Amino acid sequence: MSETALSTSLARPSAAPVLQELSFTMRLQKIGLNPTLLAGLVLLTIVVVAAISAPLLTPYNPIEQNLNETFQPPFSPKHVLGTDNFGQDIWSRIVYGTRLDLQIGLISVLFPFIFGSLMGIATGYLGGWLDTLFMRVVDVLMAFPFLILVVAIMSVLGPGLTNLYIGFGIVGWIPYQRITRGETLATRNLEFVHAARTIGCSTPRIMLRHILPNVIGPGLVYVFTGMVLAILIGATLSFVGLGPQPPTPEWGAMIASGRQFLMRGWWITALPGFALLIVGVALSLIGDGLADKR
Amino acid sequence: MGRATYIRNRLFLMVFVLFGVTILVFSMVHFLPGDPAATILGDRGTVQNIAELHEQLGLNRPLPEQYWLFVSGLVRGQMGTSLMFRQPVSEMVLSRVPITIGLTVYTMLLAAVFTLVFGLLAAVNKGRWVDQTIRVAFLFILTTPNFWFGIQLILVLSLALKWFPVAGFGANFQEHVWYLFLPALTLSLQLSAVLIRNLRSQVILTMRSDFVRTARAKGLPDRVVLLQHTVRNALLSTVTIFGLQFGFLVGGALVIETVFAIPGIGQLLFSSISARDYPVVQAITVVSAVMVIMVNLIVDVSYSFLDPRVTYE
Amino acid sequence: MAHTRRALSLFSRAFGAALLVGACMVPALSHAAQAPVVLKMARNAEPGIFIPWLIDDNTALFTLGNVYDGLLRVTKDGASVEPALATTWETSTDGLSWTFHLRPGVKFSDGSPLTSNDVKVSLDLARGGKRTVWSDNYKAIKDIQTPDASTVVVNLTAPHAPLLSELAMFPAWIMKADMATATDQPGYDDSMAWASKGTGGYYTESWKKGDPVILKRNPNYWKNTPAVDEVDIEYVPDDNTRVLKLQGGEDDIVDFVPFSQIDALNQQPGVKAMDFPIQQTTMVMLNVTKPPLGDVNVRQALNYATDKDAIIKTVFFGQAQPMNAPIPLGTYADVESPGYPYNLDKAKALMAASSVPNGFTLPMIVSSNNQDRINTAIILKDEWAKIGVNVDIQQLENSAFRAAYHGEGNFFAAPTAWTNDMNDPTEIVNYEMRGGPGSGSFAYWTRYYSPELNDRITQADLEQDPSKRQSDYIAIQRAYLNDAPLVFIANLGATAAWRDNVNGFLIDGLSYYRFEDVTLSR
Repeated sequence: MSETALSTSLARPSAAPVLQELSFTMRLQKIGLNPTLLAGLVLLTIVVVAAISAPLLTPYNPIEQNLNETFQPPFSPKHVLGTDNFGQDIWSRIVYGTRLDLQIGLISVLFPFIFGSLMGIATGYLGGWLDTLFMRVVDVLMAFPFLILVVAIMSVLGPGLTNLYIGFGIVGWIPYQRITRGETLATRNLEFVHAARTIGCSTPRIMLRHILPNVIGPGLVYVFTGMVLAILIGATLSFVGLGPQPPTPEWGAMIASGRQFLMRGWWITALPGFALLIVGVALSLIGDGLADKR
Repeated sequence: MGRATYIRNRLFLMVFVLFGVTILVFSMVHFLPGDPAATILGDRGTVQNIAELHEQLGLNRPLPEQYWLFVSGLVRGQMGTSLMFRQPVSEMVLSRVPITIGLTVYTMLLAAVFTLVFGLLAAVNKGRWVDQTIRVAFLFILTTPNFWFGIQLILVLSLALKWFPVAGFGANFQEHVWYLFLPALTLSLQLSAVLIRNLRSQVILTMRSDFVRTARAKGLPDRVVLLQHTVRNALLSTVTIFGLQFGFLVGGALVIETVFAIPGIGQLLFSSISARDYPVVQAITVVSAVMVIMVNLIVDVSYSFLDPRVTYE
Repeated sequence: MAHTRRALSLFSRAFGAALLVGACMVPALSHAAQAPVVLKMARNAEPGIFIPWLIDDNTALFTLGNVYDGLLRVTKDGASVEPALATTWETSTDGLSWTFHLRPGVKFSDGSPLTSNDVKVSLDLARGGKRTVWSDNYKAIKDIQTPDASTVVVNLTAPHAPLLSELAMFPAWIMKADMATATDQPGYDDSMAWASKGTGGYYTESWKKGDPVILKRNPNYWKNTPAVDEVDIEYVPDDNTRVLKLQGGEDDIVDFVPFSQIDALNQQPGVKAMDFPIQQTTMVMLNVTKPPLGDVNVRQALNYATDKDAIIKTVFFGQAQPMNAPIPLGTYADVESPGYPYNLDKAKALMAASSVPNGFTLPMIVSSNNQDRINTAIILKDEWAKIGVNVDIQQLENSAFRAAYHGEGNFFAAPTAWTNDMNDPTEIVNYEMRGGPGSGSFAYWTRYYSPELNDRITQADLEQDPSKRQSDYIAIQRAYLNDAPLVFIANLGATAAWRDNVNGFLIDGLSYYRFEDVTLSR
C-alpha cells in the first residue's frame, strides 16, 4: 500500500482498521505508471490497429485460393509468411484472423464477468437461500467439464459464433462468481463494512460502493486469463470440428486444420499459434499490470 | 453452524444435485439431433435397417420409460449397454475412470510442484530477471492450444530424444507412470501458468499488506512471515482457481487423451456424444458429476482452514 | 533470504527427483524376438458388434474378415468371387436352386468340424433371424436344405444372379451353429460374441472396449498360411499420433494414413506407405427436391464446373482418380463412361440456359469429423463461385450431419463417400439410383425418382445372362449419369503404412484388411 493510504489511516485517530479501503480514484492514479500495464496496452493497441486496418496491410484476400502456390514456406517471394494447402496467403489470414479472435476474446468474457461478479458479491454478502441456490446450480453445471457443455450446446444449436457466445454465457460466469464470492466472504466481516452498516448504509449501497471495489480485483485479473482461455477454447472447438465455418480465417481453425500437414508445412499450424501468443501476451500483461498496482 | 454440519448438509444435498444432473443430461442428450442407429449404420443405412436397429436398441420406447430404466438401473449399480459397442457400460466406464483420475491427479501433482516452485520464485524475485523469465515462459505456455503443445512435446521428447513413448498407456503401473508423463506434463504446464500468475500476484499483494508489515515490524524472521502469513492468505484465491480448473482439466484431458491415445473417460465421453451413445454419455456424466461435486466440497471446506475470516452462516 | 532459498531448493530438488523418476521408469522391454510372432497395429477406430449378420461398422468388419469365412470369398481385387468354404457349386437349369459342396476337412477355431448345419443356421439367421439388419440382401432365398453334412442346397424364389456375391458378403459368414443360435436368444450378452468360433485365419478370445483387439492364429485354418501368431490392434484415434507411433517403432502397421503424408513416409527409411485401390468413390449428394437443384441443367453445370484434377491434387495429394462412372470401379462398372470432364464454358452455358442464370446460394453441410470432405467443400466453394454459385459451408457434427439428410431430408448439398460391400453392382445401383416410395435410401438421399429407371434396375437384377446383365447395367449408368443427381468427384483408395520388415499386408478391393499372408522379417 502507498504512503498516502498509511498516513490517512494514521491521521484518523478514532478508527485504526487493519485493512484500509482504497477509493477508486487512488487506484486510477497508480495505473498509468505501471510499466507492465503500459507494455500490455501498447501491444494490444498494435493488435487492435492491425485488426482495424487489415485490408490495408494485406496484399491478398484471406480466402483467395491459389492451387498452384500451395505449401510455400515463409519468406517466399510472393508470400511473406507462406501459403497453406489451398494456396491461401497465411499473413493475410492471420491479420484478418485478428478481428475474429479479438472479438471472441472480448465478447466471450463480457457477460460472464459482469454477471458472475455481481452474483458473487450478492451470494457472498447476502448468503441465505440465494447462496444455496447458486451453489446447487453451480454444482450441477460444474459436474460437466466446461468443454463438454459447450460442445453439447453447440451440437444442439449448431456451430457458429453466436452460439459460441451463448454457450460461454451459460457456463462461463462460474469462475467469476466463485472468485468474487470467496473474496466477499473474507471481506464482509471487516471493520469498514461493519462501520458502513452501523451508520445506516443500505445493503445494495454497501455491496456496490464498499464491497465491490475491494473484491473485484482477482476477478478482473482473471478476465484477462479468461479472454485468452476463450480464444483457446475456440481453437479446441475447431479441433473437434465445431469452430467457425471454413474457409473463415480464424486462428484456432487454422491451427486445427494445419495439423494434418505437420510434416509438409509446419508453418501452417505454427504461425497462427504465434499470433495467439502475441494477443495472449498483451492481455496477460494488462492483467498482471492491474494486479501489481492494486 | 459448524464445519461438520456444513459438510453433512452438503453431502445430503449432493443427492439432489445428482438427481438434477441425471435429468439434465438425459434431456440434453436426447435433445441432440441425430439417431444413433443411423450413425452406427453409417453409409450402409437404409430406411428399413435404420428402423430395425432403432427398434432393437430400445429407442422406440417413450422417453419417460427410457429415463426410468436409466435411473432405476443406476440405483442398482447397472448402467445399461452401449449402443455402439454392445458391451455393458459399467465395465467400459469404471475401467476407464481410474485412468482419467490418474492422469488428472498426476497433472495436479506436477502442477502443484510447478506452481509453488515457480510462483514463489517469481514473487520473491519480483522485477528481476528470474521473475521476468518465468513469467514470459509460462505466458508462452499458457497461450498455446494444448493439443498443439502436446504434439510439440511429442516431436521433441519422444521422436527426437526418445525419452518417452509417443502415445498409449502401457501395461503395468511402471509403464503407466512413464507413458502418462508427457500428457500430464502438457496439461500441468498449462494449468501452472494460470496458477502461477495468481499465486505470484497474491503473494506480492499480501507481502505489502499491513499485517505482514506488522509481522516484520515485530521482528519475525522472513521465513515465518512468508510461510505462515503470506502463503496461507495467497493460497485462498489460488485454491479457488485450482478447484474450478478441475472442470477445465477434464475437458483438457479429453483432447489430450485423443492426442496421446489414452483410454480414459474424457475421450470416451466425447466420442459417445458424437455417436449419440446415450447410455454411455449418461453414465459418464453421472460418474464425473460425483467426482466434481466431491472436489468442490473439498475446495469449499478448505477455505475455512486457510482463512480464519471465513465463516459459514 | 537464506531460508527462502533453502525452501525453494528443497522444492526444486523434489521436482527434479520426480522428473528423474518419471524419465527413468523405462520398462526394460528389449526382448529378442521370442517364439510367438506378434504384429502390432494401430487403428483409427474401435469395433462395434462382432456378429456377422449384425455388423454395422467398418472397423468390426475389417477385423471380422480375418475370423470368419463365407461359402465364397471376394478375390483380392474385389472384382469377382472365389471358393472359400465351398469348393464347387452348380445351379439347376431353372436357376432356382444352387448346390454348394463344402471344402473337406475344415475345422472351426475350437477344433470342431464344419458341417452343412452350421452353414444353414448362420444363413437362416442372416436372412430371417430376430436381430438381423441385413435380411434385405437375402430376400431371394426361399429356404436352405442340407441333404448331407458336406452339401448345402439354396432354393430361391426366383432366379437371382447376385446370389454368389451375396453369399460372399459379410452377413453370410459362417459361425458355429450352437454359438450362432445363442446370439439370437433374448438377453444375449453381445460381448460374448468376442469368444469367436469361426473358420478364418485368426480367432479372438475376448475383447473389452479400451483394450487392444487381440487376434490369435487359428491352428485349424484351412488355408494354413498365417505366419504371424498374433495381431494386436490398438486404438489410436488421432491421425498424426498414429503416424508418429509408426515412425517411432511402437507399431508395425497403421491404417488411415493421411493422404498428405504418403509421399513423405515413403521417403523415410524404415517405413513404407501405400494407397491401395479399393472400390470407393467420393461425390456430393444434391437434393433434387430443393430448388434450383431440381433443374438438371444446374446439376450438370455443377458437374462440369468441378475441376476434379485440382481436387485430387489438393485434397488427395494425387492419390485418387477422377470419377467418370457413377458407381465404384467394380463389377460391370461403366469404365468407358464419358463422365463430366472439367469444362467451365459448358458449365456457364448450362447455367445460362437454366432456371437460375444469375447464380444462387447453395448451402452445403459437411460432417466435421472428416477433414478430406471439409477440404473438398472448400475447393468446391471456390470452383463453383466461377459459375455464380455461392456455396455456404455448414459444418455439422457427425450425427447431426446424418440426421440432416435422413428423415425429412432437410439439406441441399452434402459431400459423401461410398465403398462397395460386394462385388456385384446390385448393392450400389439400388442404393444410389432407386428412388421413390419403398426405396431404402431414396436414391442416395437425393430424392431422385425415375420409375422407369427403377424398372430397368429390377430387370437387370434378375437377368441371368452375364453379358446381357453387363450391358443392362451400363445402360442404366449412362442414363443416370445424364440426370446427375450427384456431383461425381473421385475414385479413392485406402491408405496404410508399415515398417520395412512387414511383408504381405493387403487391403483388398472391398477394403477388408487381410493378415493371412503377412510375414515379419527381422
